[in-house]
Amino acid sequence: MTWLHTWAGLVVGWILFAVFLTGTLAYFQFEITQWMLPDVKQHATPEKAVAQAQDYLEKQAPDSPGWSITLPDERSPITTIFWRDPNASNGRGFEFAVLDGDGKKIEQRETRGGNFLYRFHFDLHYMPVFIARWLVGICAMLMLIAIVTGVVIHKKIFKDFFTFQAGKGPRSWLDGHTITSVFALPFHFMITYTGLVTLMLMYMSSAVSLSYGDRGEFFNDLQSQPPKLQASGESANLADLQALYFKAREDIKGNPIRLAQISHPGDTNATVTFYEAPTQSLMSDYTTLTYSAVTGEQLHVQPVKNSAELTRRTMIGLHAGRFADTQLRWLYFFSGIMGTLMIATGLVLWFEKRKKKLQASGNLSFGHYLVSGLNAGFIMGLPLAVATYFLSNRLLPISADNRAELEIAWFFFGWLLMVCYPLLRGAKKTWRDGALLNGLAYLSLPFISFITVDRHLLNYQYPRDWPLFGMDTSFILTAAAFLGLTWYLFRKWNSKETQNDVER
Amino acid sequence: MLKDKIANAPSKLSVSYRVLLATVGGFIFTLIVTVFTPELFLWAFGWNKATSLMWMMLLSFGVYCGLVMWIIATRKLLKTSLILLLCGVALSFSFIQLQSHNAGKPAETEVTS
Repeated sequence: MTWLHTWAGLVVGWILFAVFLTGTLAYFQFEITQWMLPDVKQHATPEKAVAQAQDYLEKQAPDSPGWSITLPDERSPITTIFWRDPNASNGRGFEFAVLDGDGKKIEQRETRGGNFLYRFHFDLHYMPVFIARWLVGICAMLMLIAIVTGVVIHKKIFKDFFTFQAGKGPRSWLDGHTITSVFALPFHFMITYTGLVTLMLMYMSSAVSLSYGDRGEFFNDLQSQPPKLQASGESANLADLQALYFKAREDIKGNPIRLAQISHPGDTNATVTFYEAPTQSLMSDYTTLTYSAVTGEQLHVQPVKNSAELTRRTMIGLHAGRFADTQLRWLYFFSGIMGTLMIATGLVLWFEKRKKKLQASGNLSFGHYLVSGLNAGFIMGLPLAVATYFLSNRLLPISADNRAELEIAWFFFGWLLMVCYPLLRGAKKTWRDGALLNGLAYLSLPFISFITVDRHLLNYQYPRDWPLFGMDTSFILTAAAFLGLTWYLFRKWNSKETQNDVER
Repeated sequence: MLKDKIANAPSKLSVSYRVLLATVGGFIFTLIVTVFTPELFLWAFGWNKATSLMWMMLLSFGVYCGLVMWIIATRKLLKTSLILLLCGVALSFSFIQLQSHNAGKPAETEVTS
């Protein structure tokens, strides 16, 4: 069991560290987006967003076969629109626009915001999502195995919790690893299992194919599907979609709506489907409502009633924490940080244990140096990547071409810097210098905001800017933690400089 | 004794086989169990196949996890391999039989839970 736990953990540890860190940050993806769009001072509201989106789309994409409107809410201040366009510039058949509170397209300081971190944690980047999701899925499966075997090998779980000893080499790393693991163990198990369930239909697609020849038949067997009307070819004016939105909200007893999809706008067979947002509570009906987008007649209402499908959606809801209020969201975040530290301490422990054993006999192999370098590069590199991503948001020119992709490139630049650092200065210095770089980067964020944007820590207006205050405060606390680590490492290793050091 | 431990350590081939059996074999076996059970439930109890399939897929990660742990930890690798092979083949055949039998039945009215 120990062998399985160790190797399952090591093989995927670095990717999992990245997944866990960005996934944890994703709990605050909308707040991060707010911070990265400081010029959007007027929040979009769902009561106006549908009309604003319709207005924009009727001018921009009247002939598109499909529109999609992601509605704003208390946490998300923008309206995101997608529309199908076979001549799209990105080559993927759709275009998108982000609208602010006044319904105007946001052209300044284009950014993917917190959504990039959210998507990264299962789609990674610079690779086809199919490959990324399978890669992350394999890592998640190994993580599940690592968690279960971790419990099996650690039979004295509660006793060891109270015998933590700091500063004693591998024993302390083991203690750190155990504490962060056990502290939020139910969360770690839940998040890993539900994470796998979230992409279950992809991972178990063979099961669906073997069981049902046709995927559509499977979903039909589960519950009735909304009608898919073909375009009639005759044009007709679109009804007032904002009014239909209010009607739909009434039909689901005032629950919020997260998405509106319009098929064949401008055609007599145009339909609009509203999707209930599962943000009010963990249990939701996940109702979809379809209306004619011309006459406003209700065509189809489908709350989810199938127990298995409800379970699947609820597990996804548990993973994403969509239903969480502020306090619970912070608890999710804190648990996610524990998980991230669990992985980090596990990786370091792997190396420290072997270093101790091999230090006596002399040489560490290339593999060991690789692990040591990757540990330092990833564990110091990912936080730095996040910091450089935020820094780029403040420093890049407001109207740069492909600005959003440039910010993402800066994310990877920060990461690459730390991954290459061990090659130049060795793993040990990477920890110390990496901690210093991270500390300085995070500390600089509130200051650079002060210089570059007109909405910053010294002039925030409340309650509108509480999320931004939270961001800046978090930066300062993170900086303090990294600078504290730097000071600790300087002291620890300066006092040992006179001793013979085996490690490179 | 350390000398004995080293002498009895599993060979690289044995470890590779174990890992392969666990990852690939375990996945295939999980898949078979996942698709076999809904056919069985439909035939034996008349339960809606889509619902059973959804439940089995939800559980499949736990099943796979358990299989991997069993295969990696077992002291009797040959016995484990044979059990997996025989059960896998038996369940596959049963699945094929049940699936064609179930397909021959008249269409069911929609069951919503």
